[in-house]
Amino acid sequence: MLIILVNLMIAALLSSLMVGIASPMITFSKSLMAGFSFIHGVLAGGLLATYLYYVLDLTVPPPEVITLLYVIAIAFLVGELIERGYSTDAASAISTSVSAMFSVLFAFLSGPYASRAWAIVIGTSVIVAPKDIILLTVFLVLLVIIQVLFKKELMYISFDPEGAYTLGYAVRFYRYIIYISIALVVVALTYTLGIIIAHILIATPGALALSISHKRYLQISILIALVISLAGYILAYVMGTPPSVGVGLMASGVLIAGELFKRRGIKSAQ
Amino acid sequence: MGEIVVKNLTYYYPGEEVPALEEVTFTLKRPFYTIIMGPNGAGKTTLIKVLVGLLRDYFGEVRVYGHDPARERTEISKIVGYVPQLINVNDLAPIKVREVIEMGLMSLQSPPRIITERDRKKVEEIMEMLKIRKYADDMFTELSGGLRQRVLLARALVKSPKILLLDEPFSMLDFNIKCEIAGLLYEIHRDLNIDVLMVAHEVSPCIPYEPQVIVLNRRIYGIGKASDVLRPEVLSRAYPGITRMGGLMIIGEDHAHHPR
Repeated sequence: MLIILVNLMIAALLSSLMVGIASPMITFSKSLMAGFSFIHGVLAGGLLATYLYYVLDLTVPPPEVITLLYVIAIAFLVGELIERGYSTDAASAISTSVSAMFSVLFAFLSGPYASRAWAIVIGTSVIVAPKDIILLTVFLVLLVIIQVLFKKELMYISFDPEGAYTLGYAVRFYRYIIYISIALVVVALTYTLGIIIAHILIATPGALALSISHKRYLQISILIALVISLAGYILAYVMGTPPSVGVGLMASGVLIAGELFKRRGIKSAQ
Repeated sequence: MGEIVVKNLTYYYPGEEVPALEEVTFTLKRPFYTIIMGPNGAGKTTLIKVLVGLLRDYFGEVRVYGHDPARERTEISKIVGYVPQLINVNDLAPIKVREVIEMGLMSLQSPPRIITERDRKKVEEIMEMLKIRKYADDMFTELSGGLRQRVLLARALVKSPKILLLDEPFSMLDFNIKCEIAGLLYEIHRDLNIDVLMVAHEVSPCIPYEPQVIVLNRRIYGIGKASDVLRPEVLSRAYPGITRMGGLMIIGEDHAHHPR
């Protein structure tokens, strides 16, 4: 019992760190809709993995890697559509419909095994396995490496993509780096916590942190993600509900509290 | 080759049947301090975006100091300092004033783009010149419109361009700030020998500096000194929403249509 609880807390901590780091970038790069479409991609990728794993008996690569590759392919689809003049919303909607189609197709092909993908929807965090902890750790390390290597460029192309292009930055390449970061986060979150919690967690910490402070947004975002995850799980345990209920309630509560503490100011030369 | 040459430039936005620019032809020989004016939808921003290489599928010939912006992106990015409209900048991005200016300087380097002491000094010098040093560690989004314009100008200047291309540098500013920015641009042009080409709805803040004016409404309706171009016979052809009241001409903010 204690091991289960410890594993659960470690998973919550690691996922909070991932979300705390990635969520502000998802918000300020205006990639939330793309992020949501990638979450739909996780379901399609998960069903593809189920089909390959259970129907075709392919055990390598592991399902999480197949899912990640599928989501990265969807990320490239979104990126290329944007490059060809589609808005982020339209590109995300198109890629979501592609994923929906593949979800149905691979669910159909997987037959009775399709029900195994249900774990992706609701998450497996109530029984966090060591492999989930490893998955979260590996994806977190990859995310941190990407953020350290490309922090400046990701900020520049988010701040002023056209200006960045005219300055000679490879805007297209760095957009893909943002999307690959998001892909890492949504695959890890969805496989361990479930699709519903992934929806709640990728948006709230970053959006709220950026509305509170532009200077300390990263620390605030990580703190918010930690509070929402840990307190959300405890709340769900106390209420006897699935974790997504507790996490969702905590996210709403933190959002209201954050709004009360917000302040704004504009400096002028006068 | 210190000049901008545009010959028969026609540009259609995807899916549009009416061109945003039609057979636009002009030459600017350096040194120049020039304003492109015209009603809303006249193609002013489109023209700037073609010159800076953001729009490439055009018809005609364009050369910026001898380089083709559609094909020679690296050369153009070295020569041109582009200042976008403030409205195009993302207010959600948590970036400091100093970082915005470093963005200009870092573009000259390859990754991992490490900021050296020399780079820092250059950024400090530019901030000093544009009187924004005390805001260096403030967030860009905390600043007023006039200060933001100065920061974007600093970003363009820090890489020592030959020409500044500015898209609506006076938009959303009070009139006195517009005059301040117009004066600053003229000082940059005069003291640093940098050519200036800007898009503006109103030319009045720049009039004391005797700018060259291009009147555009999908086509060129006039080009020359402000005193030669800003005449009723030119403006009444380019501005469909013009009204005459006694000896006065009132220019409305009408959306452009092509006057026949």
